[in-house]
Amino acid sequence: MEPGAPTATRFARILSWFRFEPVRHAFWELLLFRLGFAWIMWRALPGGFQQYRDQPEPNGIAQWIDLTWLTDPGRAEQVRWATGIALVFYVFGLLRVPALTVVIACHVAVCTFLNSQGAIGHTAQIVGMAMVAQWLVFAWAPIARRLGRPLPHGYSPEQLAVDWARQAVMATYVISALTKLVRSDGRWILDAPYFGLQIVKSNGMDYYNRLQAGADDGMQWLAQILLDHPWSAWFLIGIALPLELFAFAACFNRRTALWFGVLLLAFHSTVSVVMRLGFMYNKLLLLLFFVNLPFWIVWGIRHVAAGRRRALGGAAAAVLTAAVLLPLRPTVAAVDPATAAWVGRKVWQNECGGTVEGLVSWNAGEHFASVGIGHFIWYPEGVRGPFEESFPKLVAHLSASGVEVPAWVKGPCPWKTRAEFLAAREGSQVAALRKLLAATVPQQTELLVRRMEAALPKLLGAAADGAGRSRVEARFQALRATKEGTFALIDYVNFKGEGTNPSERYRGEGWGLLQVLEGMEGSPQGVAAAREFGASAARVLARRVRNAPPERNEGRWLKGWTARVSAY
Amino acid sequence: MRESVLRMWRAVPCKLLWAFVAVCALVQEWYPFSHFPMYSNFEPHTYYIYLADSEDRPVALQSEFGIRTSNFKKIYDRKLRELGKGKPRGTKSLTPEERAEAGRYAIGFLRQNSVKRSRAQAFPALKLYEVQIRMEGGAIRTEARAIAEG
Repeated sequence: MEPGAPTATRFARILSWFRFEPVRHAFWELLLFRLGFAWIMWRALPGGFQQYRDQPEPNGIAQWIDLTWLTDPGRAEQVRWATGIALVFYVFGLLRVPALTVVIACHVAVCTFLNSQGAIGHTAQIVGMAMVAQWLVFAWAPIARRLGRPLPHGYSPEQLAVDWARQAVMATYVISALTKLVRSDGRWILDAPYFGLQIVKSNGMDYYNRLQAGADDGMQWLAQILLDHPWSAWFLIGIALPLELFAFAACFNRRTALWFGVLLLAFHSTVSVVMRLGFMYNKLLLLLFFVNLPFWIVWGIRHVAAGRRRALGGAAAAVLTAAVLLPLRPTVAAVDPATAAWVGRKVWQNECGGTVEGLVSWNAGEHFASVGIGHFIWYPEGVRGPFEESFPKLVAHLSASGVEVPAWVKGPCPWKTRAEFLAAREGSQVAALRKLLAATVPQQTELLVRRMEAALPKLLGAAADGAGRSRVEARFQALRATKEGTFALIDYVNFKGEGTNPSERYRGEGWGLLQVLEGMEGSPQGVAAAREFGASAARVLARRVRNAPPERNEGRWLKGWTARVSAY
Repeated sequence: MRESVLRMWRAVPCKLLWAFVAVCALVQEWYPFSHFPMYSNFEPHTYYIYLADSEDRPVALQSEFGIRTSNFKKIYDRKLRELGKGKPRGTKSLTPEERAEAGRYAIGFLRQNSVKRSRAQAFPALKLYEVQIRMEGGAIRTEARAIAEG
């Protein structure tokens, strides 16, 4: 962030950190999540339950079902075998609904039975809730497919399962914070200095578990400090409340996931040391689904390899530290600054010839002004055409980004006709607008990227079948991974639309982004993906011209169209 | 109106998270759902409990009986709450006799239901102690007192 940036801009950039960006995990990440979560589910199945003989204080389903059958001889082995086999199916992605049903049934039965022994523990609920969340996804996905409804954000079932597991994990923190607020009558932070007494209590109880000498007053000094210096308690302990209360933001994007994951992990680790409490499953789930170390290592290596060094220090472990400690630019997840600048220039070149003058124009025969690098459409008052008006969205985006936009720009286009615009184009208003647009190319690019990202769920919803959806998504992501591909996607969706509108067909065949992605050959990666996308676009456009009604004489445009997409 | 509510609902991110929060708040404790009440309220005093044998020698709860001190305290606390129900200051209104009743209940529960109940039954007598922790003159004071024997 530039030192001289206005406060509003800085604030807008900070806010953009928390922007909701559906996280599309790569195949290898999903595989690691599956393996890791299976291991956690296995570990979370308690042993030793067969030593009890009754359920004296039934809790949960034990109020309806007698779970004492779990204590029958050999039952513990059966539960472990059933869970183990079901987890193998889960890991291989086979019969996931029945597999998770078995895992959940065993887990909930055993943990409920243990919680019915007179005291309710809270060790593994977080795992149980994540399991239920994943089960819901795998149960819902085939129904949604049959109903023709795409999954949220165009996710695959596997991606949605991770997303919902993350939401379930963070739900435990949010409800915990709300309980604190309700039970303390809103005084939780104010009363935080008394946490010192809890430290003494927790360490005392730990001592009487095993009568381990020396464990009794090991943390008494810290308890005293918290009581003597309330500010230290308000800061060190009180911070837990907002951290938990706003933990839902961890599900917004990769950056917030990392930050909340690391902060909550640090908090749990501190409490573990100070109070001798485990939080093992919380820590494991935070590490797996939020900190996601393998991703940040790969991210760091890619950045180093691409020459975009960001003080990573070379060592893989330092990648995470750097990612946590150094401010990541808010535009990284949407598109990194170098790519944004390159794509912005290319779009500007394509649509406006790369000139400042071209940033505000009015094409002959049109009823609207074309504004900005993406030729955003701006209608005069009372005029509406077949195309969606896109300039107000740009204005809203600029305002949200902290850019000062003149009041008149926020209204309808001030020129009623092309003739009026031509008469005014050398005037101060147009000059001011051009200046504003020339200064906000990165923000305009960001909006174009968002439009491109928003197209994916529609494409996946309209794709032919499951395999088709997977291919379209894989190709989209391959393009999205390079600046050339990002430009191609943005340019084509601006140029010929998404291809999801059934009315945009000649002889039943469309020519939008969806058809180009479907028409690509193989699964090229890197720059080759953009080249194949261009070749596919040329084929699709040639087909459109062949299919078009002869009276439209679309052949006259084909050369220009082909030249444009061949440049990808 | 309905449309605008629907539009607002569609714009809410992380819908499952909020649904789970609502379920947890509603059911409170229904495995795997919970409202996670641990450390939700801090007061200027607190306490924990431990057990001792007939000669007042502390007994290691987890090693001897297979139950953690925190869980044993939950059993004792639950009985205290039950006895304090309807009283003006809840458990704070309980008399020493009523606390002793809760202590005897907890010891009996341990003898009947703990993993190593035969071990618990082998002790001819067990004493339940409360360790009160409070602030006094700016320092933390702890005081143990016998509550019940059973």
